[in-house]
Amino acid sequence: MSSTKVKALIWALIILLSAGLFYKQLHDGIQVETNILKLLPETEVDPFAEKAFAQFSDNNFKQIIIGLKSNSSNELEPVAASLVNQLQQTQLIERFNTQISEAEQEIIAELIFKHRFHLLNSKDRGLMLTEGAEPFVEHSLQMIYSPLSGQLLPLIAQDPLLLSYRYLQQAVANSSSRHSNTQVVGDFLKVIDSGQQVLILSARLKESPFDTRTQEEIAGLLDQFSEQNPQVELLTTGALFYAQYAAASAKSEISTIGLGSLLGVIALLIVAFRSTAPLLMTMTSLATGIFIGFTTVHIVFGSIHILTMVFGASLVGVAVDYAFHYFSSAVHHRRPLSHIFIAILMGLVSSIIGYIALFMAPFPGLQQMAIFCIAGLIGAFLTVSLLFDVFQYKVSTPGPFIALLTGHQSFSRKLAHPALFIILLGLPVFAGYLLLDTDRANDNIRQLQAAPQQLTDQEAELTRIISAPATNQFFLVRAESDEQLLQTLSQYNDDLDELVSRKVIDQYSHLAQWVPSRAQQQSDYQLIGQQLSQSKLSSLFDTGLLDPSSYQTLFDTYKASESDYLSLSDWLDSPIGQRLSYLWLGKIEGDSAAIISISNIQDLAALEQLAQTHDDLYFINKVDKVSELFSNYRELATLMLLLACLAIFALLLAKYTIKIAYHVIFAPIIAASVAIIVTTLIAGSFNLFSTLALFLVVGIGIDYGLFYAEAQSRSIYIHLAVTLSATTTFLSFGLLSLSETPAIHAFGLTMLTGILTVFLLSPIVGNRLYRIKGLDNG
Amino acid sequence: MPLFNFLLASILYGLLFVTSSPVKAEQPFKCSLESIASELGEQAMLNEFVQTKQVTILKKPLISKGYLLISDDNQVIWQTQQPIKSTLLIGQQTLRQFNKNDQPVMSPANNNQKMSQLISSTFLAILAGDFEKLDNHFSVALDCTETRWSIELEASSNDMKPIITNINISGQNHIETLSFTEASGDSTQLVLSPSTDPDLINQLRSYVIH
Repeated sequence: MSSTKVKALIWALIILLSAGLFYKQLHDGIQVETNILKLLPETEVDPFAEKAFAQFSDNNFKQIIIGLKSNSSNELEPVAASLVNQLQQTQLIERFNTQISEAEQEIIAELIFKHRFHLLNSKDRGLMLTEGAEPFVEHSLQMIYSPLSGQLLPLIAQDPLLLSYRYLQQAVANSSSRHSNTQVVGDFLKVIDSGQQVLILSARLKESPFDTRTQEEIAGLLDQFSEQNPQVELLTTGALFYAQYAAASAKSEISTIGLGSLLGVIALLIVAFRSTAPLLMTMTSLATGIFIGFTTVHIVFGSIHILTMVFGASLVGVAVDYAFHYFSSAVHHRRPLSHIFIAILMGLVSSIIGYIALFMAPFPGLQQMAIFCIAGLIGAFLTVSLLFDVFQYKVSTPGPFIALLTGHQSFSRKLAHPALFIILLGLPVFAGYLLLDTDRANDNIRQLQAAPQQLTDQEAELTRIISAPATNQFFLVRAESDEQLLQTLSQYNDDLDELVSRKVIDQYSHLAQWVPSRAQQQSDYQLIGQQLSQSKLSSLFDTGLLDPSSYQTLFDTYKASESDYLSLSDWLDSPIGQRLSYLWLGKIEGDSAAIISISNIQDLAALEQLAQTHDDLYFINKVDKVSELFSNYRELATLMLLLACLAIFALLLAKYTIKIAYHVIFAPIIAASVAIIVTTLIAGSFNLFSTLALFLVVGIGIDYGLFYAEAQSRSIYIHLAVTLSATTTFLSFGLLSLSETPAIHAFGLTMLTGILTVFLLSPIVGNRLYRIKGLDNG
Repeated sequence: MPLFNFLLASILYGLLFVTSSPVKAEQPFKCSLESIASELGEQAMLNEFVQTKQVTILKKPLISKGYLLISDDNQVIWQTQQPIKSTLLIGQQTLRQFNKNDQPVMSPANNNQKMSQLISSTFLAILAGDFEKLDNHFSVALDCTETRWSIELEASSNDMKPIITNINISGQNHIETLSFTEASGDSTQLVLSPSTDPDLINQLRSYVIH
């Protein structure tokens, strides 16, 4: 067997192996991730806080809030009711949080009533400690003489101080909006917002908001509802709507970018080589690359993120370089591989160095993209070096095309003056200055999400209207046991009340407001017992609602219920506990965890300060932490890029003279500088994602330099390979700059300018290299 | 235990005082809702009330006394003086409650506002003589003798039936009695008489400023 056949066989085996792995994945189910949080690095030093956040956000993501707004006064309720009905029919809603049915209300009241001798809210506890039973008895009397007290009267005998009523009332007040213009109307929360009534509906999804079926059905239903009810303005918010939008735009981008670059590559190949064999082989190398990239990422990460696929779609532009170089060389040589092997191998190694630098960042999203590209490029490289020589190609490039290239080449030759190489060095200096001056505000998590203004506006409006607790800023409390957790939570009441009175926050909510710790319940039980004496209740005896026999029953019930504590689990099982279950995180790393939700934060620093003074209190602020992290990574990535350039330069020095090495690395560095300058001028700043694009600019730029450095003779076909490669890269990354996801857009823009510069510089550098190598006879 | 209904009860508290506004009438009386309505248009600011509550579980009634003031800005101050002093201040959107030492106490939570709205709108409609509005929830019957009139309202809607089954208003020149029966079977009667004590008016007004 010839070596060619052996190589082809090896290639076939590799493909078979990946196909097997791919089949297994297909069998187990391909996981395409659309949750942007999965791309993000961990922001908390403490893994406990990180896990707690993940759990909270998974839970919180299931929430959707819908507001119905109308100018007219009466029509909203029936319309809203029909919407609820339609939503219910989808079977996708676990429950509606704004609605508590009468049966559920009874269950809650029943639960609190059962534990009435153990429950005091902090205000009542203070009142009872200082003033005893008197204010409670008076309150009961006020209630008794109120005109419509009928349903309450029979209760006096069992709960003469109306403790259950008072407890429930306070807890409801704690967890409902403080806005006086909020009311419950029928099944909805109704808010009058600057003269307009808004009905608020809050629901919890059964499935993850990243579930495609849930996304499509709910979004479809709401669209249809809007069409049928043009008089009603719908406001929606929740992870579902963002995810649905981002997934839809990512999908369309994958197809636009992927298809766009593919068509471009096909057209170029047909024009440049006038033969179908190169086309088929290039497609084979591409498909192999993408296939191996996909499979590898799925094996390593267990799923593939949709943004990795968007990014990966542009790999097309890079992976075809090897094939282009092969076929350009095939014009001269029957077996071109040996002539280009070193060049494309060096190209692969330098690209891998770039991507490894990307992989080093502790950032799952970037790691995934780096793995995708490394595996994909290796796949494409292997295809070119193992398979391409199996066939022989008759390729020829059309005259006009060559003429065009020659024109460009000789123009570049005139420019290839040593002075240019010195003048252009001013660009990196200027770019460096711009980088140091970059605005940190642009390093934002929202860069990763395509979110239309409409959605963010609606979210802002709804959050304002209902004064909803912040979803990514909250306190996290950790304790060794549930009992300790509840004790710790109530210890923070004073600090939190102080924050409320300073107007740092509007409101806070935590579990211990509903379920006091056992120790607290024990002491409250004793305190309450002291108030239940006949003499203290005498004025209630006067009304006739209490008499010696009912008093005896009351006293016996009190005695019998001594160990009848309200337990956390009973509360969590109740309808109100289910609705507020997000406050409870359960066991994390063996410890109990809960959150304190906060609404309308005015001063983040005050909250961070409070957390810093307590070991078991964490302030979670994901958005800001991520943005800060992006900033740090941008700086880190810039540093890594410099190091990568040095490493590549060292690699070049091992093989070439310093003069050649310098020229090979010259174009990519100038191109990166131009990209920095142009992006900063257009976008106003240079963010992490643009920085990452520079890795590719440098990697591709070095490929081009190497093609020239490896040339054994002056040939227009190197320029052909570079032109083809630059055009496709251009095409794919240019399309990326059309992306709605800001991060991808920034990436595309930087690539576009960087590659254009590399393309223009390469023939100039090439001419210098020819001269240095003494090939200056063409 | 229908605790949530307590919440309602406490809100209702605030709404009923409105019923106490009496009516002045000087012209000869004609037995029609319209003429009663026009009589009710002018009301005395201050009324003394005696409330008698018949509770099914109690043999003797619960009796309380106090004053009702309708302030110039349409707020109502409802003060029970016996057997225990407590004051309710009811505005269009607000409900505040004061204990016997005039300290503000927990105001009813904003739950079950649907019910409280229902009741407040009912009694406001009665006082304003806006009887058409009552048609949604009651069937209205009118009965007159030579000098007195009496309006009987029977709950007809599913929203109202679980709260109040019927309301009776009667009077001569003004509303003299107002009684109603709750779904639980308890009944309440308010006997109103106009008063003009300027000291009381000032005392009650001070809550508005509180």
